[in-house]
Amino acid sequence: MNDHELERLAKQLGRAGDRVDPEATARAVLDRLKAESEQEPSVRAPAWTRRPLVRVAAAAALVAATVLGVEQLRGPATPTDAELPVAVSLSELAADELNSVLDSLDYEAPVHELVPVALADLNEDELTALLESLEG
Amino acid sequence: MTVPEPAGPADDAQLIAAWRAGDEVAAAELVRRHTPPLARFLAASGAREDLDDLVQETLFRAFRKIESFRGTASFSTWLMAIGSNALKDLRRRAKGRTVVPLDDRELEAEDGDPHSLALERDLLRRLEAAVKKLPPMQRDVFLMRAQQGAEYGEIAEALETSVGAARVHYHQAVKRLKAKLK
Repeated sequence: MNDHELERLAKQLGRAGDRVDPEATARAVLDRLKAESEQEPSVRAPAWTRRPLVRVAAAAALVAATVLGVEQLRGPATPTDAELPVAVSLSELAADELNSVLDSLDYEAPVHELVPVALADLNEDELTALLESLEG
Repeated sequence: MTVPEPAGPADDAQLIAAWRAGDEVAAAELVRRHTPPLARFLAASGAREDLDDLVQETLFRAFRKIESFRGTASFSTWLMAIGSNALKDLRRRAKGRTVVPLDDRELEAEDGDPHSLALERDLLRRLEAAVKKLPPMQRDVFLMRAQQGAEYGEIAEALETSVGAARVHYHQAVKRLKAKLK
């Protein structure tokens, strides 16, 4: 058998495929795509991605509470309810506060093979970036 | 539900761009256009009673990851590569199931005297069985090239290999098939 003959026969293979209805296939595929796009907004993130976020939020709340407590002890006047900050974002924390948040997470900073970097070596921006990356 | 019809003929690239922008009419036209060759490819690769589901699964996967289609391979060849992976997944899940025997109607030659028809049918049956026994890469390259008429360049692109490797796989496949059909 030569190559030409083999290719001629190969073109006849898979005739069972002729039974597949393109219209029915189009309907089924579009229905599945629609069903999937309707489900997408309600899809929840997997639990393993949620847990670190909860821990970071809890740690940030603790730091915020500590900062507030220290300021209240220090300050001569007690602020009114309207003046109390209701939330502290990571960008508002000082380097040592960010460090304490990381410590509370038991997080070990990644160490490069050639240049070891400890948490203490990071500046405020780097610590903020690290915490934000942990938030997911 | 009726599937929307496009206003006029468009090439694959235009339809893909329209689908990326959310046009369902374009998606339906792509499915209509590519279902027959894809179904033949999958049937020749060994899909049987699950063929309808496999064709749908392949097209569904393709539309979901349409952003990764770069247009360097033809859409048709790209679909076949996705279909081949879907078939592999299906076989992995269905390991141990009984094999459905070949249907004579699938192998029927259309014209000719009874003796030639019988010979042709026998050859096709043996070829079909031999193709299914090829290593997956050789089978995909052989079918894309010999059954679908794709160029080596687009086969290599779709199967994420080099043109040289695609040529080697094709020639290895031809050598094995000829040996089986002697």
